[in-house]
Amino acid sequence: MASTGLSSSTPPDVAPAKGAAVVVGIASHDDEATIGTVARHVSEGLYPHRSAGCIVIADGGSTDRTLQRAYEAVAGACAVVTAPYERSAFEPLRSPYHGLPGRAAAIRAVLRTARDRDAKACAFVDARVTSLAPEWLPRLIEPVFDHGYDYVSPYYVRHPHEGAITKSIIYPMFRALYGLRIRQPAAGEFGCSTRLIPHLLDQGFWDGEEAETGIDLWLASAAAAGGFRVCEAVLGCRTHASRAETPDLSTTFAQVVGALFADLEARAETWQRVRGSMAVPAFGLPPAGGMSPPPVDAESMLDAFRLGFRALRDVWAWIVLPRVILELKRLAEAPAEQFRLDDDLWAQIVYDFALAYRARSMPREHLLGALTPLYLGWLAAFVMGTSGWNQKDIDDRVEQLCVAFETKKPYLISGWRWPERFRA
Amino acid sequence: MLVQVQRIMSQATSRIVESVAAFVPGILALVAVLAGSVILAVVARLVTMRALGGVEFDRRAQQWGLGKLGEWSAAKSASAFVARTIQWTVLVGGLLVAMTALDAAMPSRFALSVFEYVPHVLAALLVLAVGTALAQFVARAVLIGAVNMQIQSARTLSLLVRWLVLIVAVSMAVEQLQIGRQILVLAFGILFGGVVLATSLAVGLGAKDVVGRAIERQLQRPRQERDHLDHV
Amino acid sequence: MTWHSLADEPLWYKDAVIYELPIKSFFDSNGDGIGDLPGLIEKLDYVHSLGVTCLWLLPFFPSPLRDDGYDIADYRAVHPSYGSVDDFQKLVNAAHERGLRVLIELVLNHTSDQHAWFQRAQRAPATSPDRDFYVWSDSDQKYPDARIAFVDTESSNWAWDPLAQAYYWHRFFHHQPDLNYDNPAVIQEMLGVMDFWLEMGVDGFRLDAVPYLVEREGTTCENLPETHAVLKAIRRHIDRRWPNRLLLAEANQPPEEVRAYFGEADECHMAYHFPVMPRLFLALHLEERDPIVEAIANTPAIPDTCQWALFLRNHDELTLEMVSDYERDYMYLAFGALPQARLNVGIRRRLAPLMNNSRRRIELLMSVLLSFPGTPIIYYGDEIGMGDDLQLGDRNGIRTPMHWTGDRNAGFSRAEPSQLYSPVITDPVFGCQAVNVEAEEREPASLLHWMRNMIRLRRLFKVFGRGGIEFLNPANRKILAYVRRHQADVVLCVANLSRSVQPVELDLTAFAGWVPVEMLGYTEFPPITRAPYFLAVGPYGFYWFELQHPA
Repeated sequence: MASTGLSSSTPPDVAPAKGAAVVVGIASHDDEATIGTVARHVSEGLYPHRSAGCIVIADGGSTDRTLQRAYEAVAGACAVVTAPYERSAFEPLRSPYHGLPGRAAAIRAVLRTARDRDAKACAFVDARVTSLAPEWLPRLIEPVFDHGYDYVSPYYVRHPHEGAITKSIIYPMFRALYGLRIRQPAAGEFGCSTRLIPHLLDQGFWDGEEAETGIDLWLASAAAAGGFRVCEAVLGCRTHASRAETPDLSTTFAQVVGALFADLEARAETWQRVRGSMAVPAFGLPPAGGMSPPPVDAESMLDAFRLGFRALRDVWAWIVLPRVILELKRLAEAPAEQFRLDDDLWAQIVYDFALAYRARSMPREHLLGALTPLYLGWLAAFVMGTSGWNQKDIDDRVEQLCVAFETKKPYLISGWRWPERFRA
Repeated sequence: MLVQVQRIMSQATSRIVESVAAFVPGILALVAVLAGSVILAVVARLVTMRALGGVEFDRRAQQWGLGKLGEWSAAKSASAFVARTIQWTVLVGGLLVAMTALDAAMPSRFALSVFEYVPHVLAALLVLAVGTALAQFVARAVLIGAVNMQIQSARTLSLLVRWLVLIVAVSMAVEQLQIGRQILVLAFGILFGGVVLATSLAVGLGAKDVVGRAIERQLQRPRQERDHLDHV
Repeated sequence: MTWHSLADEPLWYKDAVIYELPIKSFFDSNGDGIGDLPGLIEKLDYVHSLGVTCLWLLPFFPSPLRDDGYDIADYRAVHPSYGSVDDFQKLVNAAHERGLRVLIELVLNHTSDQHAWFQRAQRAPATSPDRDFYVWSDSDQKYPDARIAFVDTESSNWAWDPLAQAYYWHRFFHHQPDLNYDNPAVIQEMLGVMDFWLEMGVDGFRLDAVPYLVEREGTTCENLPETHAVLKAIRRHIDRRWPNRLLLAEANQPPEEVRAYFGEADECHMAYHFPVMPRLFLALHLEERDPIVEAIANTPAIPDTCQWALFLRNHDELTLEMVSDYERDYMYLAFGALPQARLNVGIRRRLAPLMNNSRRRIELLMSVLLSFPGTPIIYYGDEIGMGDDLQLGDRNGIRTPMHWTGDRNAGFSRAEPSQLYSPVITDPVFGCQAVNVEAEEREPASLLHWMRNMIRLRRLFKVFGRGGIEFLNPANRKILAYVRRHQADVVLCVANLSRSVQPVELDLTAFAGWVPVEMLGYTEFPPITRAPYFLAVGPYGFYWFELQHPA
């Protein structure tokens, strides 16, 4: 996998260390602006392991000076190799994706290099993460070395109103499904052990169409469903230079939630047997200091929900129970100050959509598109209901929602096993 | 008198015999061509079935969403439907050729025009079928897309789109059939032009404030909503 | 997204659900009145949607069809009515694409008298190698202790061949001469035949009539050590060249005899459990569990990598050879009320008519089939509750065309009805108007949907295919209750064999503190205590509980 000299302009690999104890992958494509800092911070973070460390630049065929920048920045502090990967072919009809094109291929290239080099631990970061600090590396790697964990999921500190898809659907449902309280299972970076690498590489999801957008979540679910030891690394804030224009909310929503729903189908045997959930240890402390709140317009989200109800009621009626439609009707007519979306109701809605996704009641992009206004309704209720709360209160609120998802899980299981209602 | 009658009679008889004699080869040819076309039709159907079976046409058709092809006809599958269509086309073609073989000017011209017309009918049917399915799909896609773009009149828009697709499909089908196409195109033009004119008049004159506010609302809402909130 | 296609799982057959079908009865794609391989390919999506994981195809080789294809005239070709070898390759590919495995028949014991080998042997000199392919004798008095299988049609196992001027041995019909497995050339030929099909991707063979391969004087010529030696040779060959392929033995014998066909995991991977099937019917009719419990209790342990194959009905008669005389008489009285329903030593009927078309009884038996230790085999048509036609001779009444729709020929073929290989069932209860796939697809509460859900549910739990079984012994003998256990998974099944609601107190002290969760609706039941666990089970009702550990 590792190559020596992509072209004449590429510097030769610095000290190709066989048997590197730690492999850190940096995924890049035309990232000359940011990769220098990222690579330097990675090599600084690797300091304790530098004799046994190796940086793998998983590059999707950069045409600028990305590779040179990376080599210069590391400046021989530790070994560097490149592992080229194929970017996904351009498909005009595919919805845009804001991340690295061919992200799954990049991760696979890094994991393969780590496997070939017999690495004891492996971490993966993106070359565009501008907030990456040297201390991220020990946090991603040391739980593997010192505590025997297999998968280290990052926990980024964010404002309560950010990451609402994760809070409202991904985290609660992931937790109910796999029984592990990983708060940001779809986050970008990760660390893993030598034991987990072959398991991940053996998964069938690498070549799927949605792999690019779903891979982060699927790695976490593969680790959780495979019974591996999982922990969290608190990494502070994540800011990154965007690669492309951010797609609109409904596209992003469909990508993220679609990845979760697709995963459900592939792992039915596992998640139906999991009961309750366990906390996972978190390493590292969040940085002090508050965050500036992002501008949120709850009123407009509420409008989006009401519009959704007026226009999509008939579509929703295909998916959720009549009782839920009546409840939503009540909500759509309620004034803003009385707008509260009950946790049980929300869990049931999400589960109903997951079941309809499996039963293919309608084209899946339509299905996920129809869920977006409901999500905005949830977010509006969440923003209005938690204004002025502190982090602790917010955490308790999310915990309450997660418990609702766990309590409602039998509904999902029985609907899955006896899907009569969806076969119209 | 008797001789005259006899002559006329014999003349008439011989004329009948003559015309029948002239007709018989045509009839024979007709029968032969018909029989040939029946055989050809059956062969064509079998060959098509085999060929389509070979390329697993039915499964592909399912994937393309053409699985319903089989449901409209007595045929049980898309490939059976195609094969049957080909069979009947050959049969009808054979019939027309047979009529031409009768060597009567009228039927042959008629036959030719019918012959030319058959593909149009098939194309029209196909256009209609695809159009109906497309209308349903696009209408829902527009509805959901419009709601997510927070266009207040999403329902109306989706309804409009559905009818637009349907009308376009019908006009394309009619165009294929070559029935009163000018009238239809004209009517379509008048209707569409009228709607546009009425809307612009409404915007320009009476309802300009209302429309202005509506547009403002629709344009601004999404702007505000794009508040750089990271949802993931 | 198909994440888990045909993975390299050596024990795949333990988790499999097998669907048995004769190609001629499934779907006719070319309108000649006989089902064919392209027709089956067309209907693969239906089979896949059923949730089954493996197809078992009845013989489709060139044959004079005097024993429904079990009289094979050429092992390396496809009967022209069904298609070609190319079509078969397409079928295997299409099935594998959908994650379905393909099991085919291999009739080891005999060929048709039309097979080139036999015709060669007839003309060959008496001691030549060609003649030696079959079992010949100058007298018809050898091997007098061997049973006659088809007592209704055959009077001896020897038949005179005027051409060869000798008697040849036939264990079944006289037109099916037995191959001579004392001749190594025969084994070599058969291994070549197996390679031919395995090369095309076939996942395994059902070995027909294995107990009769070799004959020895002074024995019943069944289950001889020499026969096992042949099977071991076949298994060695498969293991060496073709990993993860399956051998399924058909040995209509008591389980203690069948046990030998597993060897020490060096003969067949799977074998049918014949006695359990008639006893299920018997228990249901008697409304008491003893016949079933006895049948399982008398089943010997088998090697870990081996598996029993279970079925309710198949393409043969419901055979009563493996039950006691008393039980056989009872079965005839109970289920074979119509004299024309009896054939040889059995009852030739399908599941639904045997159950008087009672949906509850069908579901109960299916639930037992799907939850018993072994790999279930579902006979085509039983998933929609198809009926049979007793007017047709031999076992043809249970091999009628599949009911796809309520249209002409049940949507099976576009041929003239008179051209069908067999008439379609038309009676008012089981006719294709009343019972067909199209109607049941549309009806969410149909037997078809019920079967789909149940098959999927079974597949979610490996314990059904791999676990052990322990029967509980509640005082109410109308209740059949058993615990399936595999590693940490524990499943409790309770079935009411009677037509009325029954109370039952189960002794579950071993699971005190555990919580039973009903599997279908995922409903939690009260936790188990040291006191007897009380349940009431409705008429022909059954429960599957996942026992959840308190921790």
